[in-house]
Amino acid sequence: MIDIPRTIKLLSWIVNAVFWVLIIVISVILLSQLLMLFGMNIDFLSKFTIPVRQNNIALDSILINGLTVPVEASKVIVTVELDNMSGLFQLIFIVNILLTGVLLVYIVGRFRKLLKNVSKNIVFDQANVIFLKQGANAIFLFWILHDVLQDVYYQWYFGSLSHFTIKFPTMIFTNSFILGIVILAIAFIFERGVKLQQEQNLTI
Amino acid sequence: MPIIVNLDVMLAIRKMSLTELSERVGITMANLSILKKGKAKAIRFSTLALICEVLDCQPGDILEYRKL
Repeated sequence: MIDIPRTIKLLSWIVNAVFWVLIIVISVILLSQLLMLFGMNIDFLSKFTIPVRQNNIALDSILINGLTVPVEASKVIVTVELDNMSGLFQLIFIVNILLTGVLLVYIVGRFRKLLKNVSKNIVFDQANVIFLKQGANAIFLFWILHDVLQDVYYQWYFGSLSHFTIKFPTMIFTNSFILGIVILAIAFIFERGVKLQQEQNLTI
Repeated sequence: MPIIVNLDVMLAIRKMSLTELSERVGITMANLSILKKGKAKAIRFSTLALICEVLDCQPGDILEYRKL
């Protein structure tokens, strides 16, 4: 038998920890951007890796049992130094990172509030429905910023460089989108629960 | 709501206050107040039976159906 109050408390503790870690990370990134403005570069933050899917790159061929087998790379990881990119790319990249970071903090913050209410035994309440809907909307926005726009922009930017040909990712409905749908569905279920709770409260 | 609760009428007939009824039936004043004002969505049979026992009346003395 699962001890629900203890499970909720453990979950609250984890979500709280994630929330504060995200706050610290976003603050560090924000600080580093401010320092870069004053000409002080922080090495580990000016480099980032973009996983670029590159199909059909014939790298070389190898000999196996007398047969020459062509070797193709199915995935290429590109390490890009932000300093070497155009100003516009840098600006879009930084803004995107900061916005998605802030969104993540917001999403985790909503779930933090939800868990706080649930740990106080306030489950089917309109406030919790609002937290869930806000969380779902933020997840959809995150999906647009992080998955859709980022892929489209990288596709355009790196595609314009002569030595890269990028294939557009086939899966646009990634995990974030599906998670958003699931959270929205849970919000509607909670809404129904609120109505049932209200009826229960008015049953003498 | 077409169901009218005539609790205050029965309380007046029996010369009983809402506080006394609350103590004898074991329902909070807040809930009895909700019932008296007609804001309740439902009433349990067990609650109705307790009220009728204390007020020495029939359910029909407390509940009335009025077409809107």
